[in-house]
Amino acid sequence: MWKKRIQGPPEEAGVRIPDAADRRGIPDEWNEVHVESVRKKARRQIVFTALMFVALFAGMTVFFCRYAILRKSELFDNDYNSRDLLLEEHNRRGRILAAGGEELAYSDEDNNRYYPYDTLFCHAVGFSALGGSGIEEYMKYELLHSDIPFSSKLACDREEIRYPGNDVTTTLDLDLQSYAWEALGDLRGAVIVTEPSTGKILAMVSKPDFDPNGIEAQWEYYRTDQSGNAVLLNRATQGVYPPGSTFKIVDAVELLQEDPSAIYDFSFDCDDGIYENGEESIHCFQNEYGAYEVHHQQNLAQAFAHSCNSAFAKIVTEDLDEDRFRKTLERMYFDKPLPYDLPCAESSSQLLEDRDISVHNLMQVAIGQGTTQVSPLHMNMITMAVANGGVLMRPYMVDHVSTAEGDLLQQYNPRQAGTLMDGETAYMVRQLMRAVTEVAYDEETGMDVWGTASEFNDTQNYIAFGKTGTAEFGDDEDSHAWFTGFTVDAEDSEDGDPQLCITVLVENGGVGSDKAVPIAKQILDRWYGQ
Amino acid sequence: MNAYAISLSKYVNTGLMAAFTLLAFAGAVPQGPRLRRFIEALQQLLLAAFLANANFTISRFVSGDVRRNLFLLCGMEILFLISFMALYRIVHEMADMFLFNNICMLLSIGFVIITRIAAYNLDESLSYKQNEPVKQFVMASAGLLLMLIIPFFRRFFDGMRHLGIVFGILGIAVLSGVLLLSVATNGAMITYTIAGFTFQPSEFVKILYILMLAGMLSGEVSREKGILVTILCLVHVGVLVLSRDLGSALIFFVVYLMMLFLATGRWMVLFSGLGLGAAGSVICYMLFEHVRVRVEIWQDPFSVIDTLGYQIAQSLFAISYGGLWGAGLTQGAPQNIPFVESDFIFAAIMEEMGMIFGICLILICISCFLRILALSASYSNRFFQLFTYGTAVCYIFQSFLTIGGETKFIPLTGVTLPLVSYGGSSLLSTLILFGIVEMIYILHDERTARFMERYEMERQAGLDPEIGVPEMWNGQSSYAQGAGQGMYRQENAAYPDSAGFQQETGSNGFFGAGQQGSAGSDSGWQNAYFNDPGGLDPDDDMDNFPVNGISEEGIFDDP
Repeated sequence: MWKKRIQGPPEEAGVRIPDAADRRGIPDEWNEVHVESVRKKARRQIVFTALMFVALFAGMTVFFCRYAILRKSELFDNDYNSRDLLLEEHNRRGRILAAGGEELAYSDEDNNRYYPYDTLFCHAVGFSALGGSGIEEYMKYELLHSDIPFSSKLACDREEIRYPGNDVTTTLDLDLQSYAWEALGDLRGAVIVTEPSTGKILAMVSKPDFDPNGIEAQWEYYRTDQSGNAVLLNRATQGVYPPGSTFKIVDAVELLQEDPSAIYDFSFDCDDGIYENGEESIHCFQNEYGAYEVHHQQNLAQAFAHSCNSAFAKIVTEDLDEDRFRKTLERMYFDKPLPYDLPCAESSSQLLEDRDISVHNLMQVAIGQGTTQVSPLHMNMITMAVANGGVLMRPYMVDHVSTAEGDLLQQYNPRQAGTLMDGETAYMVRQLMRAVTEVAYDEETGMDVWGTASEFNDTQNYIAFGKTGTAEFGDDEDSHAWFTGFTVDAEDSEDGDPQLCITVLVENGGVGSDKAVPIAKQILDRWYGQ
Repeated sequence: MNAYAISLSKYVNTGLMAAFTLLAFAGAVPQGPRLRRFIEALQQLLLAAFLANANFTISRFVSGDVRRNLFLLCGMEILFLISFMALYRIVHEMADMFLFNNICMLLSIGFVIITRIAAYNLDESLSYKQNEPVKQFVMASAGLLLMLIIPFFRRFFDGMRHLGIVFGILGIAVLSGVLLLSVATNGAMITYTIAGFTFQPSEFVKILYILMLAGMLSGEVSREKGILVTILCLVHVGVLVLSRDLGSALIFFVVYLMMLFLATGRWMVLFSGLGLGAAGSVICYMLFEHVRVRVEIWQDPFSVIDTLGYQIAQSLFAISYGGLWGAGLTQGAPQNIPFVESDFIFAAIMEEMGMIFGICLILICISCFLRILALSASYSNRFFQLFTYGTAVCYIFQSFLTIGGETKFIPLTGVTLPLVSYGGSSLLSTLILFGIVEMIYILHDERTARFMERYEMERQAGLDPEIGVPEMWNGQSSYAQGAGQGMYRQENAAYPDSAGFQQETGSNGFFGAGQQGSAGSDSGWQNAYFNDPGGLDPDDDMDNFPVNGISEEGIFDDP
């Protein structure tokens, strides 16, 4: 047998690259050096191929593991992801709690959702049905997952009940929320109260409101309602309004950044309540009798306290550098997404949108009219930054997530969003905002200077800082009423640590000092126990 | 509330898979034949346990007839795979079982997840709407049978080397035919349904293509030949691009590039090829709307989630939902992904069986790849080497394209995950390719054994090994003396140490894949041979093996 094999015709062999050995008359097959060199040559390329693909796969594995783990809750919360329905079959949606531990939302064994405070938290907490809103939507992933220990899950299996989902504890304060809710009454508008040193949102009210219990039944009505009530809209974060005179805070920040000495040097004579620049003119506030207020000779604090339109129109058109102002506006999140995790509206600034702005429009910018629009949340953030020495803390509403058994899963800590202004500027603007809320004696004229929010002059348990605003809109006399400000404990000096930062907006409410200030005062008075 | 049982089962699944993966890599460690057999048996046991456990979990989701059918199918799968593994070992004594076991595991994972997806698609009469699991099982069985049969035709394989150009033209003809047909029917069809089985011609052309490249590149690669091969390949790729089968076009191009790289041994080929490929991609991007759209979807699938981004977004949801351990079989929603069982099977596996399981799956794919590459490295027959190498590259690159596409690592190209995805063409073509790889391995083994046998006989016939046997066999004698070539000695001196390629053979490690000791006796020559760095390769023309002086003396020549 073996003989035959030797004698048989040669089988076809693999052909190899001939080399020097061939030329010397040695067949490849005889040439062990050649065979080995072929192998060795190929080996280098094969090892390279192996390494290349292994590296590709390693990179890919790292990529998708990171992607899937880091974006876990973001992907879960996506509207197109229906896996929340899967989880609801096994888990009972977790509770949402106020900072004091009060239940704001809970589910029964059959995953029916209840909101014990009915309309009180309807925008902040939101609702879980129909895709959800507010915290219900934002924390869907945490609420629907159950991280109780395996043994507890086993016990649930034995009883044939759903696993209780994780609890979300908010930063919302039940008392403050109800004060704000009651103070706003039946008016349309929004109140937002935050803590400047941390960014915690303590109260967030938007009116008109709705009852999240049974939202499904009312849904079509709310959705198609044309009356302008827009109850589902959270006016505190998603409504945008012309800021009116509250925008003078931004003007003042820019002025003092460009020229800190203006706090002493600035002087303006508001003769007859009209300021003219070329052909354009602007007038100060027109009272109910049709007369323009006249502010006479005043320094910056007085102009700010009086909310003198003429003075600020002069500042913005004559004193400020437009490009630097634009940079400041950008740093203050105008025309940019706000540093806030839940849905919120972007503010717009006429100055940023119109690069070649006319004097007339510039005057409108100065007094917060024209196409400049901000949300109450944004105004509150600017105020927080002033109160907190220029540093804005990122506003947040969820304090921590824990299992149904109370074990802490995740603590949300205060985070800085950015520095909106330097500390000195913030301190000076703070002084200006104090002038608004007090009755000061002016030595030069020997007269009292009444700020536009001087109701706060005699508060006992706290010292208030603030700015009012009356934002005209439409063609007639309608206007939105604004107040934004913050407080310091009365035991502290005026330079003490800020405690609460409050922003009130009353839609179509009229004059800020008449409508918004009393609401803010009522909330703060009740909170400070007056 | 049987979540308890399901969550237990997912940990068991992950554990079984991890153990299997570990054993799949155990091949890299030297071991004797007995230990090898033990590891193989253990892998088969793990595979059976995985199938049983997974199908049992799925069965809790269904009831009645479907449940019974499911158990029946599961039993058949286990029985068939296990008996087939045993059969393969018996029929082809020299087969490479680690590769074969990996193939069976990948098939099982596919069975499980396809069954699970089908279990969701139940209509009210509680029967499968579509018989995907059964179809897949039938196709897999057919493919495995082919794998069993292919090695019997091994003596025809050498001849295929000369048919390279024929295969090339045939492949182009088939692809162009498909393209013309789809133009005529006014649609971008790349699949056809024949007798209930979808049929994708480009999958089978892949086999012809690799055969063509291996055949044409196995000889000396002259300039003319290189240009001819390049033209043939670019025509393939061009026709595929026009057919909108971008995934296959990419695979064909990469296989061509890597095989040319191995054949010429030039790094320039690789890098300039990659550069040309990149340039080609850019041109395609500018020329074709559907290429641009894919890139845009890849960059931000969520901005077009209503329409084109839906599939990839759902895939990402699925992967993310699974987490490390998976949601548990039947506990996720992989059915939300369109075409999940063919193009997005990996996302479904990741969702229900978890990230760890998915990584193990990738490792098994890589283990297959490395194993085939190692086989390729051990051949010095260029045709064998190139074909095996081409198969490895084709397999791993296709896996990379599909897994990368599903995970948003690269733009989606819509190719299947070989051996796992649902789809008869993909399954059959991959199994045929792997069958040929096994065939080459057996061929190589056989020739080695014959080589040894002959040496042994010559020794017994009284020949002095010191004269008749090349130097490296016993490490004493001079082969050069017999050959009468002085230069040999000098060149040999360039390899003074024995730290060579085959040093670890007998171990069957990834890059020591030569011989596993199943062939021949355990006599001393075997070790001597395989511990030698520069062995003559038995693949190469055994019958011309020179035995000095013997022919002249006529000892073995019987007139």
